[in-house]
Amino acid sequence: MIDRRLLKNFDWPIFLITLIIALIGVAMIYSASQYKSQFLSSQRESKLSYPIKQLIWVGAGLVALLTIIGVNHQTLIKYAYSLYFFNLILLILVLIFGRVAGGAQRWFRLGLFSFQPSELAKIIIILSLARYLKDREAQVKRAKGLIAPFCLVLFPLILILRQPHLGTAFLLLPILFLMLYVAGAKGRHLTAIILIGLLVIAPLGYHFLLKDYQKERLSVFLNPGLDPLGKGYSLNQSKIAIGSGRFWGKGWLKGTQTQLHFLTAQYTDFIFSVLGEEWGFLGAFVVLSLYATLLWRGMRVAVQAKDRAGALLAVGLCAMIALEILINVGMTIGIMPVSGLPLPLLTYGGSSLLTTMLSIGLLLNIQMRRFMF
Amino acid sequence: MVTKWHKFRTFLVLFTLTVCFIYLLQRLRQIQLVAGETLAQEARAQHQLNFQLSPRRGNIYDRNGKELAVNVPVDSICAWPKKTRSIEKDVDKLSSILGIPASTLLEKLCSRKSFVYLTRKAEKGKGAQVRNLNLPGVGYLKEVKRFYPKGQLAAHLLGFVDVDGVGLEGLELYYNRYLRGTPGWCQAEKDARGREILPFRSNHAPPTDGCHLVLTIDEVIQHISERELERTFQERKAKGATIVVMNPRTGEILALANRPTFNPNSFKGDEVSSRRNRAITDTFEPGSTFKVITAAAGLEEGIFQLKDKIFCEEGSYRLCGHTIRDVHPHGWLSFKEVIEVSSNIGVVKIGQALQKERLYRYIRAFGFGTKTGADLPGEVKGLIRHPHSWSKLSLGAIPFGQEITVNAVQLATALSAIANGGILMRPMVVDSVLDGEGEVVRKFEPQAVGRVISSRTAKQLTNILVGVVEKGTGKMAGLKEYRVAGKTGTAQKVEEGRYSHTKFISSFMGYLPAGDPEIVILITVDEPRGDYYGAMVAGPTFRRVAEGVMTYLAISKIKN
Repeated sequence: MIDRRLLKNFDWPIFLITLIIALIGVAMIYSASQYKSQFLSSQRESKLSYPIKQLIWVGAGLVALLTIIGVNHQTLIKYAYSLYFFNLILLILVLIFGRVAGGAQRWFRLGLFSFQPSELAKIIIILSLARYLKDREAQVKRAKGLIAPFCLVLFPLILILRQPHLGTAFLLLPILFLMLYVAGAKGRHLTAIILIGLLVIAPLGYHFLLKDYQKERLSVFLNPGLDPLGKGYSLNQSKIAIGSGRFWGKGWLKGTQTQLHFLTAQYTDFIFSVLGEEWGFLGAFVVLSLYATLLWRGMRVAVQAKDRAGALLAVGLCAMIALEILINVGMTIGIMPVSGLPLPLLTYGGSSLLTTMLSIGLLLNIQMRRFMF
Repeated sequence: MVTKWHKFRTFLVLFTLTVCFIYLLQRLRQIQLVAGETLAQEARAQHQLNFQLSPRRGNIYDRNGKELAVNVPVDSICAWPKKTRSIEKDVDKLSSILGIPASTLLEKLCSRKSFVYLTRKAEKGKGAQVRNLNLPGVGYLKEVKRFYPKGQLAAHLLGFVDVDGVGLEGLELYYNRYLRGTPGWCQAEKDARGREILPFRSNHAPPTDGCHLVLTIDEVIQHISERELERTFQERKAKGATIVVMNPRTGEILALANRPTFNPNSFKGDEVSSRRNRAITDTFEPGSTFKVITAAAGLEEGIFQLKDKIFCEEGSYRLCGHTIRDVHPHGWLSFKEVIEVSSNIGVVKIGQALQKERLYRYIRAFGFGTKTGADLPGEVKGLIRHPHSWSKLSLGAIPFGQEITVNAVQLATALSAIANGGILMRPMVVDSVLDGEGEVVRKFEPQAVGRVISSRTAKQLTNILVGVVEKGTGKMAGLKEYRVAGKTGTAQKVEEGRYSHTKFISSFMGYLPAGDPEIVILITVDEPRGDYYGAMVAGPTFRRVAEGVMTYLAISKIKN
């Protein structure tokens, strides 16, 4: 199934960087969960439960990554629409049978683990878009031709909004725009749509779609000093943690704000704050550089791909990972609103890790098969 | 097919993403490197907990090492109102243990504070009783309380402390900086819920305990003095009374007491005025005792010899339209006799011979009108006007102790200068300061202010003062075993600008043994009822104190 020529084109940097970031993530989660296991956990959770679970997920992610390499991405593109419908059904099912946590219904409970179909949805939507856009360069040059790809994104987007999972839902839009742009859509059309979206739909959406806590997040983002002990607490604490790390950081397991639990959601949404506090600017710089290298290699895949579907797929996947990084890191330092988007490969959680590993597997897949056409 | 143009757009996307990443790094640089110090301070402010570790307050000992002020362990009952649950039904039990009304307790227990004291420094053992009630959110802290084992003894000297152990009066105040010690600190960390996390990282400096004071006071002499002062104070139904016992050679105060007094262990019930150390904070017109100073000036200046005759005008002497009277009329008296019989007219004539300037110079030289420098807080220096502002009548008043005010310690110090051969000493209460291990940190040496009169003059004055006790006004102060030198005083108090004929300050001051004085004793009694002559009121007190003290000193000498 995997011949020698494929192996020769295996992009080792992408694979290794992925592994390194994921392992850094395990170390950060280990540090971030010290307090939780010391004070807050129920008795059966041992001190190691979070990092070990994450390590298991990394292993599972690697398996998924290697498995997806085995499947020609062309095949996946071929079945993209079937996957798309399968995913729509999952998104509907989760609204009916999903587990409710933190006011949102996003998870399927599978034994010890839980699974978020909205994570998988991102990849499947990107696959479907790649499938749809690969032969329609002429069509997307017209404004009307943009309606169909928009609808393709809109259905799952609405379902995800219903959960609600605002961050993931709106992440789909910039991915769509970037893929359309690379697929050949006219810049002025896209700009017009963005302007209309911002001026008309956004205010309406703010009033009719957003829940109160989401509005609060936005107002806190726009005015961070508003309520440092209440709504702005997480954000303010994140800035204090990162800032107090300064250049060298306080050292692994020695971050006061992390270990004494001043940070909230410190092994999920705010894992980057733990990194910033304990490993300082140096650590943050290294990790961001690793991400940047990963994305550069990913975009290289898009450029080198011989087939349009592969190129579009690579752009979509890179855009997804890049946007998640920008939004999450931006959130921890107060330049993006609190959205609940994970930091790829670092945040604790299986669904996000699996999705990212799958995406990277797909990138490797495209790179390996660039000479097959 | 993938076109060049398509690749260009892909590069454009990559370029945009790169710009975004650089912006992220720039923001990180801003937060971590530029604002880092400020944010690190904010972080510290959030998680650092600083405790103060209290030092133990130093003890106060008398000159022989007897404890006068110590610390005893006590329990402070406290509560964390947020943690109390259904406290109402148990509040009565708490109330009966603490002796505080249930309503007061409930008010405190339901307050919105996170910590309240129910009682500060209750008896030791109350804490255990409260703990046995097993009430959630109510507990106790072990603290120490200042305790004065001798109760009222030397209360005015020792002073007292507030509930936090800060000196408020007396030596507790004056030497607070020695007694209090240096607090230590302990730094721990707390988590976001305010729970203290010690093992995470902690840092501390132990407290340095306060120094002990060793006084010049002798507990036995103090006790004798207080016993006799109390007796006189009660018998005479006086408004106030003061005794000072001093070692004339060194200026060491051996005993000092006032009436009314208070108990420093529970001073809240006593009247505020009873806490005043009258010996140093109150001044009065000394009256006849002051004649000694006038006599000293006259002799030292060589104007008079002991045998010189002075005409005492048969008891009535007009001066500038004012009549000065003696209690008993006299004609010609020798200088010595003038003092022995305490003739006002005779002393005025000595004063006139001295004239204003010289008299004033001697008064000041004996330490009147300036603070003695005794290590006691609140000393009032008294009023000695400058000769420029003396009236024509002043020479008819100041020589026998009117128109001027002095405090008791000043008077005792001045007499000590005569007793010790002419050198004015600075009065002192503290002998030394010891650190926690008992090593001497500071030793106070007797300090001579200066020579006031020659030793010849001093001897002559002693001769006169012995005469006062042996055949003059001070007979009631005499002892069989020792020759006593002394002088009585009966000063009219000033009432509404005039000298009162019903309110007096009766006093006696003296020293013994006259040949080689070991102690100076001064007693003043404010507004005695009935007899008011200094000799009658204070003389017997002097005698009893002198007897007691001399016996004690003789015994302790044999022991040594």
